[in-house]
Amino acid sequence: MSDGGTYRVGVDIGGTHTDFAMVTPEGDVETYKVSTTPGRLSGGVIEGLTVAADDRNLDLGEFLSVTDRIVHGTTVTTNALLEDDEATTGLLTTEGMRDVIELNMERDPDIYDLWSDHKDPGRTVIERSLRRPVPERVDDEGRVREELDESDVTRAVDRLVDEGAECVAVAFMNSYLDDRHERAAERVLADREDVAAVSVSTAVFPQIGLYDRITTTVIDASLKPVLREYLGDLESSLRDAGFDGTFLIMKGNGGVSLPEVLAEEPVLSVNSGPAAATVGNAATAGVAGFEDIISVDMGGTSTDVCLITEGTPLVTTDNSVGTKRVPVSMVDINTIGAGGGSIAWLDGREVLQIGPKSAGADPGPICYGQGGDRPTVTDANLLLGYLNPEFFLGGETSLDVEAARRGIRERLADPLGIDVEEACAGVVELMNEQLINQIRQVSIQRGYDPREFALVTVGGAGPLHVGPLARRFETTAIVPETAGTLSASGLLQSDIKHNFVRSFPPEPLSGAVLERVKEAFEEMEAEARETLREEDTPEESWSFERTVSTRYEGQVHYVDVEVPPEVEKLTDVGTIEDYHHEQHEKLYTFCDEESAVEVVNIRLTAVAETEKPRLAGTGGGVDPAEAVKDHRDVYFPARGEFVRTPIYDGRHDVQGDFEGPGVVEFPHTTLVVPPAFDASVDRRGNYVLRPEGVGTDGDR
Amino acid sequence: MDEVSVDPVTHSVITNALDEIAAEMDEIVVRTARNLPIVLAHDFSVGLTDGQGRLIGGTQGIPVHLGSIDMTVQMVIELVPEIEPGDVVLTNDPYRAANTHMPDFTMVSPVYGPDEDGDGDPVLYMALRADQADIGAKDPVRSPVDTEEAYNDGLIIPPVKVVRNDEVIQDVIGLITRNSRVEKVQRGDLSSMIGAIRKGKERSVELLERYGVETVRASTDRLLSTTERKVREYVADLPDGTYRGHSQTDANPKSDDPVHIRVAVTVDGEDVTFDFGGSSEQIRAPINNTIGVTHSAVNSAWFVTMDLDIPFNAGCVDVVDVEAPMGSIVNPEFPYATGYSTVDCVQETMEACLDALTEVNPRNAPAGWSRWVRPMTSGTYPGSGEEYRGAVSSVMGGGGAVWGRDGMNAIGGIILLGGFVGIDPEMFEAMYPMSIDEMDLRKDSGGAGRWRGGLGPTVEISPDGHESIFSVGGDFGRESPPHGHLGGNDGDSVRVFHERASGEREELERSWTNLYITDGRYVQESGGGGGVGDPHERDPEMVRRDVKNGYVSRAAAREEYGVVLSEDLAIDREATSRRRSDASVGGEDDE
Repeated sequence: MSDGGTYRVGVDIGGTHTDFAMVTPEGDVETYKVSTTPGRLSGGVIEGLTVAADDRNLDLGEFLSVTDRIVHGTTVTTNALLEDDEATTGLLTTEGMRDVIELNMERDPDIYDLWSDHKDPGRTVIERSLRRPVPERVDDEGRVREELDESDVTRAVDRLVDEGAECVAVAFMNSYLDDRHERAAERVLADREDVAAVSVSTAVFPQIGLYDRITTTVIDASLKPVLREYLGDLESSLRDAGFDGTFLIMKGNGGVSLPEVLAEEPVLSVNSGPAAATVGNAATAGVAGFEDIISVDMGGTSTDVCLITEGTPLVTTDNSVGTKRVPVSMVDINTIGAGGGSIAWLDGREVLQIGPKSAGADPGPICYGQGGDRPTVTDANLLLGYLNPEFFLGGETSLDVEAARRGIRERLADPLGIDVEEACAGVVELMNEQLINQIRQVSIQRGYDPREFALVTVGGAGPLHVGPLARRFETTAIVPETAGTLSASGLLQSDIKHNFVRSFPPEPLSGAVLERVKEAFEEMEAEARETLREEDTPEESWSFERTVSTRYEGQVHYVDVEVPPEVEKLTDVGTIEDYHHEQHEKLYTFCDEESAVEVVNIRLTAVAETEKPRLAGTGGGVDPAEAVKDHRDVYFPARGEFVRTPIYDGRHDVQGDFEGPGVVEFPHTTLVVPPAFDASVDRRGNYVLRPEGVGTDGDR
Repeated sequence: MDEVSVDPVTHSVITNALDEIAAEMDEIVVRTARNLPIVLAHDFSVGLTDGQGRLIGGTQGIPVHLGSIDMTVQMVIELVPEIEPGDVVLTNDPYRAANTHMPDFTMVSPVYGPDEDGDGDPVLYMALRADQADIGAKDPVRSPVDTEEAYNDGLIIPPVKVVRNDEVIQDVIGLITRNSRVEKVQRGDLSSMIGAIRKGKERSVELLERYGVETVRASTDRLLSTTERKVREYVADLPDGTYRGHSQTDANPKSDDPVHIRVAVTVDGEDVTFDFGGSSEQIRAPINNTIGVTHSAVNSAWFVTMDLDIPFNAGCVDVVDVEAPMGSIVNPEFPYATGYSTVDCVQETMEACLDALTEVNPRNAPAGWSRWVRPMTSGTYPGSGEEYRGAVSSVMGGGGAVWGRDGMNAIGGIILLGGFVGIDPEMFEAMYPMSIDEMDLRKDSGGAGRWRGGLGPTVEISPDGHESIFSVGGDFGRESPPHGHLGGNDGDSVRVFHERASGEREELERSWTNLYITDGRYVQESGGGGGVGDPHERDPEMVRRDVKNGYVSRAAAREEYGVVLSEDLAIDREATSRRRSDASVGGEDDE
């Protein structure tokens, strides 16, 4: 690692903009935005860096020579999955298991509908002609029952290549217990020049469940060419321009990794962008004094909610991108298809619903005046006075209030027999109820009390809705000043992070099982240490977290129980059992002390902490009262009427306290502070809202 | 009582919240139950009803359960008048409580307002129905194939409290688990169900606290009346008349005569009647429908062909009357056995209803789905000596096509509509002392059509040297295969084999048999779904892809679809159009 550098840069490439967050040698955070350059994304990156260099009167080479780290969040793999733009991939699997992925392996959310997406027979992840069986078999105790003949592999690969496969995924039955056949196939494939990339299931996802292993491995293989090419181009562009510091890529688990490591396991890069945003939220809240937060990122078409304890986001393996399951460790982000642009409509029962259909950016909500004719959450927010028709997107556009009113009246208010304001308040209430339900799912349903978490709200639409959420959960809400470029900032706060997992055959917990668990933890730690060493991280920055997944004898699913970091302390079977009973009761209302407890998986998370930039505050802002630029009538459901409300100019550098009601207009978002809320702005420009009656202790 | 109204916004919030409550209950069962078909295949359902036992939504699960879960709630209301806020009632009684077959245990629990002591009426009921591993039937198997009376099917549990005043009544739990050959599993599943009910009640009470008892009542009333009004409008638009449907099972355990289900569906103004007069008489075998099962079949057929954007609730089926003659196969007298009614004759009943409804709206009705045969396995783990019960796979059968869409491969029986999910083969091998040797889709098993029927898998299972009992029940569909529709061809019927250790295969001629297999294998060639529309009208490119993917053979492409393919799978346009214009070759309507 270079020691001479003093700048650090986070780069987040979005669909329209490439965002930069830079920490200067003085500890200030500066942000930049340039247009994304589709086709060759490195163009926008170099352009943004050039702008940053220009600002300091440096040429790009000079600037990069004093930049010691560039961290990047990528959406290329996520987008490839969403747009079905992966490389054509063939599957090698065990004879007899070729059609496992077609055996109705996931639940249909709409069973009564013969036209449900789930019942579309063309929906398979990989077409049948691209799945080739080979004779081989490992049994469920890890013994080889039928040997693999390597010439069968060669023949099967020939067929796959003939069918157009560029990449090959290998997933054999029960390989999670013995991977020798997969390794043998991998060796055969390594010599093939006509195969661009190979992924092997036990390397990608070494867990029980053939269906999940097949789908995950296919996804991994299919993303390799695109990710390799992309990262290669980006890194060489940076190196050519004079950068010789550390280049790191954000993973979906919220940690970072070296590009050459990640290029070989691309499935881990999925959801890199949202993970970066989450880490950014955590860091911002941490600076404001909140370690335990729930982040609510509400954009135009969807809302991401994530729970973060002690500055670390929860991680889950229950993930999907679009319709594709991706069951590897990722930041546990609960996404719903409802945001500011979501359409409000009446279902067949005349029940008001929000989303998942969205008006998008084009035509957009009715009030955009671009031809949209279906009412959205944004239209309701406008009519209730939350949005300023003359100051939308910082005044770039004005909004058509009358068109929105007409649309809401015709499509919602009249059919329901209520007036327009009631209908608007209803749309907002329904939206809020969906957000409340998401917050419940990430907190209460996972055994956390949401009252102990601050709500950090970002995204264009989030700050409009945060008040009622804070009121419902009797907690504090934070709207960070840097909400617009949080993902890029988050990149600067990330640690290097790797997840390891081992599965065990089901067996009641005993001293012997415990020994095996300890041994496996030690093996995993050795593996982790080697990886971290390869990444040139200093040993004193390393730490390891251990989780044991346990269940009652006879159960299939498990609960995750954290165990002490010192493996030697795992001496007592009873400790794990007690943890299990407690967690089971917390999650599912009961425990069963008469049942034996089994260990199913063990997980190790290895972290190499990176040096965090210290963030300086701006300090010395004016009193909020001086930022009041206007008053207008704003509707608050608690009052049941429109209330004359001060409008604050969010562009002012303010610091101090004020009381709700109030509306703060920022260039890219609007914060609504309802009545009976106290608001304060800290020296970094973060707005902190507290419902009256909720304590002021930052670390509650 | 004062009339309380609910504003449409609050109504919307409450309606959506009820769905969320059911989803949380569902999650607890999936995460904590022990009986593998519950966990792996989702053989359970949640339903929320109003204070009168009318299904209001919050439905998660499978149609055979959901179509009549509210009848059981209504019977509990009638039979257990002294039900208190902290009580949970359990029943599996097909006769007194309109339950589905007895291995389905149903728990029902009332939700009162936060301050109510049980003197008033409950606002809601939580209902949960889940498949049990072993309920003490006459033989050491999950469901004996040759029962004659309910007493042979297992322990009959009339509505009885298992939780009183929030305390689990251990005496009752102990009585039930003592009657199960898999006591631990049984105890775990009862805990799981009670846990889910507890969670549902907690969440419901929160809802009542927030919005008030009368508001929630007004909301559920409004939901049902709105739904019913919309459904009545829909029915009023249907052409009045009587439409007749028929299906049959050839697997009569008692004779060679098929068992017939006949139904006359009469649409009269805003009302619909399903009259099963003329159906076969009850028989001393486990295939009599409980009245609940008959209602589930009717409601599922009715609802799946109704093109309204409304989730299933009581308002959807309030317009429907069912007339099922007492003493017939669709409404037997106690104590006729009903152990397999959720396979036969529920699927034939649903088929007969769809057959009639096809005339009402041909393009909404699917072609026949494969007859659903899946062996129940029973035996003893060689290691621990404990018994196991299970189902091999839930997806053994292809779905029927529907106008505009091919049938789903390996989706299971029509009464499930895809509600059962497949069991991962590694999970299966880890949980049972058996191995799965093959689960490949069977080429040409789906009926040809402009839209092709779904394929069924071939499933081969080895007990690997320990004795496992494969109880095979249900019709193979040999005489009445999954029918094609609007010119489509029939799907394949089911074949079952006992493969000996020598490799020699014996085909099972009759269903309702226990196969005792140790060193050999159980082999099932599952059936496929029927096709819809003339196969000669199928896009030749789709036929070519089917051949490339191995769903359809080259010969079938030629013979049935009239599509001629070259050696390298190019479409021979000329030969194809010649073949297709010659009406005497293949693809004709077999009606």
